[in-house]
Amino acid sequence: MASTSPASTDEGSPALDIYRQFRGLIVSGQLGVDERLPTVRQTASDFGVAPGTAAKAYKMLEQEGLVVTRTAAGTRVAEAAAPLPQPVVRRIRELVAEAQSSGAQVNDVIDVFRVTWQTRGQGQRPIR
Amino acid sequence: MSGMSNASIGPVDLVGGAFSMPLVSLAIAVVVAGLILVLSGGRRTGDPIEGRADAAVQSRYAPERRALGATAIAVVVLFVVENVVRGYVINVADIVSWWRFALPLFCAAVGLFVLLALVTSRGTNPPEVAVANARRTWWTFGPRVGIIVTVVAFAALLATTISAGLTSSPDDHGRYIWLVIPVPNEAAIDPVRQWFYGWAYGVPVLICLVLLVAVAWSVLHRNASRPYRRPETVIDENTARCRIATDTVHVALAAILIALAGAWRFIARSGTGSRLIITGQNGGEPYDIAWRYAELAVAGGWLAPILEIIAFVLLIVVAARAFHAPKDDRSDVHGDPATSDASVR
Repeated sequence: MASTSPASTDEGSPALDIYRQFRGLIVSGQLGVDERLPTVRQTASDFGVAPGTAAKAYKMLEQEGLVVTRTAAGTRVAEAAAPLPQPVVRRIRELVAEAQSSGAQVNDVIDVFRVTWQTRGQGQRPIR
Repeated sequence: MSGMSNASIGPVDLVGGAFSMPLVSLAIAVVVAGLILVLSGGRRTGDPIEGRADAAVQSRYAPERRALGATAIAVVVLFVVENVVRGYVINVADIVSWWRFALPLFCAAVGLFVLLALVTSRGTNPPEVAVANARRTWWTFGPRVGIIVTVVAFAALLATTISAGLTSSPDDHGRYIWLVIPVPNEAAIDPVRQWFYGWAYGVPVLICLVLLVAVAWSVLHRNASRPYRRPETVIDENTARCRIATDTVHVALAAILIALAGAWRFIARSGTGSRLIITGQNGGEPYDIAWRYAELAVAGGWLAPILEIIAFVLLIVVAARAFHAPKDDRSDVHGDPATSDASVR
């Protein structure tokens, strides 16, 4: 997980670009543990490349230990690869979408989030 | 005593009579939808994402929103025209007007098919700047509650149509259009036959229902899976896709509700209790004849206008929103487009 590009792949290749982007999403916590990656076909469509290229990128992620591929279960983020579990990440996405649609500012949301977290951490009732 | 005959028509009868006409439901829906639009319009003026949406994003999704709006209008207009023509222009005394329940479903399916063609043809262009994303499925952008309600309405229409079809009997021409109600304890008397929501009406409904659901699902799937243009347009595109998915579900749901309401009205009309008088028999007393599901039929008849009002409100709101651009869209398109590095929804 230390290297950012497998040695066997050419710099600037589409597969490497896909690999880097997904690696960034996983390591930064934007994809949660056990979260399913898009299908190879969807990723190929998103990047405008052939499905084989997307499959190659997924293989690179798997070799890095970032994802696990199981038959029928698809390609999922490996347990040790991401900082947060999938349900938490999903809730964060919903929170961000809700905050954006209501016009809230990111700093306000973070402040309230922090206060709520600390309040609950101290065993007090949340402020409603 | 003369006043008593006037009083025999109570308020309940008046309300029941008024709501027996689907066009009354439409008139009420226009008022309700107007109120909803006025109230939501006041709250929507500060919608930050809508206001800052990138011009390219808006132009990409605008035809699809207009297609949805046109579909919603077409469903309402066709419903009104069909009702007026069938009720006042042509004589359908012995004609099985099988199209009357299937028409809203078919119209919505055709409209959504046009939308699907738009999404497929315009949405599959290669991205300008590729961006990795979380998995997107037909469920990703759809309104969760709306989809669940649509599935329930789908199941209700399916169950109603199949049950009524199995209950129906054929006429002399083999058309399954009759509800046969035997006279209790009088096997010698010919049973009463009423026009009913049988297979002759139900089969076109089932075909159009399956068609509509398949097309709606395809729209949700294609709408979600197409690539984004650039990383900075992801948020705006997500918002636009949510809108497309929501309106798609609402159009499909409204069409299903209109068909379901029509079926319940028809079943209520033919399935409620009646009396048979045969001169010279039963000592001059009438025979009371009741269908065993008469109570259910009556309940369905009362629920039908509510379903229609909900359906028309959904369609009017979809149409109004499709052809109404927020005031600050034009002023901000070159100013401060919504940008974000977030690429995962």
